[in-house]
Amino acid sequence: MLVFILFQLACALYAENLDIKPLSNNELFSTFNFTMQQAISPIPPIEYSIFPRSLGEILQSTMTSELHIRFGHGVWDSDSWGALPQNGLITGGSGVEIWAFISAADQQHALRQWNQLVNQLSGYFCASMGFADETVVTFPSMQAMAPRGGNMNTILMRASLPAEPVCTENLTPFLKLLPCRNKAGLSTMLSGNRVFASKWQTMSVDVFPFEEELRLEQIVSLVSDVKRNFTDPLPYPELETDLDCDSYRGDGACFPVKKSEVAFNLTTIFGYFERDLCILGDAKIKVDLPVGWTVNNDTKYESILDETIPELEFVSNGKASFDNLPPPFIVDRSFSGYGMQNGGVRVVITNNRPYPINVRYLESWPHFVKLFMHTLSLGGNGTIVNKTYLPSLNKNSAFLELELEIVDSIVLEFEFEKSLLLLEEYPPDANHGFEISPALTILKDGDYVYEDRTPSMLLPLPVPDFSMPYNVVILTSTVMGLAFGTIYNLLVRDVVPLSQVPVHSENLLQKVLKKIK
Amino acid sequence: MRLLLILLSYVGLRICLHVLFPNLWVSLSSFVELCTPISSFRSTKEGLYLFNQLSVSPYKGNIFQQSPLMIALFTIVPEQLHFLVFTFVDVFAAYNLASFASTNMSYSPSVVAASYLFNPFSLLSSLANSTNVIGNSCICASLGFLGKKKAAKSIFFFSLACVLMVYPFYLSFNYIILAAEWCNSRWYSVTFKFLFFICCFFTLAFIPFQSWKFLNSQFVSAIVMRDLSRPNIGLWWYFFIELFSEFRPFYTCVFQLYLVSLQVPLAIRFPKQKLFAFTLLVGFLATFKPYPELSDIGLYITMLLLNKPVFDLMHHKVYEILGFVYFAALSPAFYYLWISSGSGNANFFYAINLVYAATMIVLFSDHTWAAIRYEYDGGKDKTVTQI
Repeated sequence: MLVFILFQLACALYAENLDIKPLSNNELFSTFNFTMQQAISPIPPIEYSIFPRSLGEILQSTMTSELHIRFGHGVWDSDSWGALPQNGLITGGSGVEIWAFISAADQQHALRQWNQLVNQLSGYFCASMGFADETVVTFPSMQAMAPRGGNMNTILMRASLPAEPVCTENLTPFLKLLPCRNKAGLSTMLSGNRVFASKWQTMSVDVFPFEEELRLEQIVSLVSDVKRNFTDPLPYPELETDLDCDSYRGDGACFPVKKSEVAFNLTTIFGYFERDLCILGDAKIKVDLPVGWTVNNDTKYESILDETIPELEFVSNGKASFDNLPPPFIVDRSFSGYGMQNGGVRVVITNNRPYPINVRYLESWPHFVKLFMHTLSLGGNGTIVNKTYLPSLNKNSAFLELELEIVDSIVLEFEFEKSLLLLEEYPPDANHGFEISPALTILKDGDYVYEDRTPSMLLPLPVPDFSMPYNVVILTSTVMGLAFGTIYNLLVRDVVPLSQVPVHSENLLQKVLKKIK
Repeated sequence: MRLLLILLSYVGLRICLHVLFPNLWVSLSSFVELCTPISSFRSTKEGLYLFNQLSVSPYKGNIFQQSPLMIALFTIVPEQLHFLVFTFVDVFAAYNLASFASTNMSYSPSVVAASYLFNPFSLLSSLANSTNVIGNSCICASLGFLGKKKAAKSIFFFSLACVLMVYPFYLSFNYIILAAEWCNSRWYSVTFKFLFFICCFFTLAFIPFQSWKFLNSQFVSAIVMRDLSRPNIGLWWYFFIELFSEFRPFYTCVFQLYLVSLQVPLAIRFPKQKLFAFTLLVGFLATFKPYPELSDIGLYITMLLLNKPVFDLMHHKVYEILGFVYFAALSPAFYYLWISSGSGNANFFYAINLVYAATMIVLFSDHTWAAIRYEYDGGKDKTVTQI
């Protein structure tokens, strides 16, 4: 039995990586990469060793050959941080984004599988992925998002839920997928309160076939604010030693001492963590240091860990220079117009490369945004090579995929109308507005692929008065009754001259009035 | 001669406005009083774009909910001349109303034509390129040919109006008996021709996309008011937005029954005044249908002039005009407060809807009472009453 288990483990592969890189403005970028790979026999029953069986079964039951999930929050500041890590292939927009390659006969069948998949994942990752139903899902082209495993005989479906708040409750099931959970290894550094206190954070889960094996990649990337980790969340007055006071003035004019040197270690950033390694795989830490920084008095650090996770002391002399690679292009999307009726979208894509680039721009719009695609106008220096537009039908989202050739920058503009919804379609905080999914831009240049997601946008919609149902029903019914009654009254009664109107006998009121007189 | 002058001045006005403000229609079509989701020319443009540029059926989306014949019409006419289509249908409608007026106890043809072309309600709707004016023009044409006793042509245009706009179907009963009387033909021969043309137009509508999907997108959505995305001047939109979803099918049925409640009673009560019954129903539907708009009211007011004796007996014109002025001034203002400035809410606009409906009720009762008095003794006895 033991031999069998050891054999199974030998067939499997597990690796942990931590990459750290200081950024400008006292920020620290770190990426935790957990990779596991396992041979999966095509004939059930499948023997699972380190690959999580629960996830494997979900994928098998829904015929999903590839699954990609992204959780994200915050905005990547590409002006000061440069291009996205790993070319943006591991980052998600705000909220949750899922795409999957499903083997199915047709779209209807794929949609049924997809609904099953997202509902199971919903419970699995404690996220409302069940809302990613047929009203949200889109079918991008394979040219835009090719399967990593290369299985083209599948249907690609993608959905994003921009309003989903990503939180600790999503991190816990994420860590549970790891063979050592967060009991040992680099994953012990991931505690919810530190990860989600970061300025920008993204978690990704990718399952795809890789060299006849099934590969699971889990990545957590975050940009932590180093300064925030030094300070207690409760505001305390600065210590006297940290203050620079003007002793010649009696009023106690004091200022915080300016420190040119910044020093911190892993514990300051990630909190207390276990030092033991996960015995099931290798662990590696690599630090990418700009000039002026040292780690453990060294200007370079890269090591395969053998026994414990070492403590790393980061020191900066305060004169560091950051030379970040700029992203190949920048996408800027914004709303135009005012008021609750008409609006417009303006997308500016700027090419940072000296030669023209060819990108694909994908976005989906919920049904309550009535897009007028005939108003689509193109400015700047570039052309639309290819255009796919599926208008919104019933409650389904509209989907737009553009292939653009950009020389230096391009401006896309189109208009839309905001619609009123039915009473029950508004969320409880209707006046807050509605989140619009991030737009995805993909650049493919040979083997080089770069993905970028715009921030999600908040769209205010017109709202009715939610306290009015009863009033509207009675007022409208009264007016309609009045119209009907008035006309019917005129139609059915006899017409006579006033002189021939028979005199009525006195009614009760007239009798009483007469008595009083 | 005066008629020709009026028609030409209207054409001149439209061309001038088009040259000076080519995008006037876009600004006007954002007024909810002038355009509804089923008549907005922006939707037509979107449908044309989907069909002609992207080769997608316009019924694959929510926005285009009009007849396939509209796509056919505006595909054939080059884009620069689209405004001329609206000018032409208006002139055609005015000419036909005028020719009907000349055969009837009515105000002079030029007055009728001017009232159709230059009354602010229909003029603004037409400038906003509401496709509803095309259907209205067909109704006017069917009246015009009735005046000339040309039954087939008249029925042709009336069936076209039905297929283009859905709601003229609700007038068909009264139209058939009116047409039978005016053209001295039997009701079943008129019905037969009507059904024949309806079938022809449905077949014609089938041809552009080779599918019956338009029946769902055009007819069903106009009947059950599926698209509640945009308010209008009617009573349906707020009612169905606020209603709990379980009651929606029930009230849709009730409201539809309401719309067909007057056809037969009016035909029975006024066997000699079929034109009055038809006119009243035009106004009644224009007020209470799911997607009402001002072009229908413009048509109703002009049709009042076609029956001079009854019109002269209407005694509350001042109140009605004041009601319209009140509505016309406050409706855009309150809509602006709700939608653009955010200092009002939906109830402001709804209140004006109620004022508008109340004004229409006064107009209907005044109109009906005038018809009753005219029928009783030609309006000589001022003291008649009802018991």
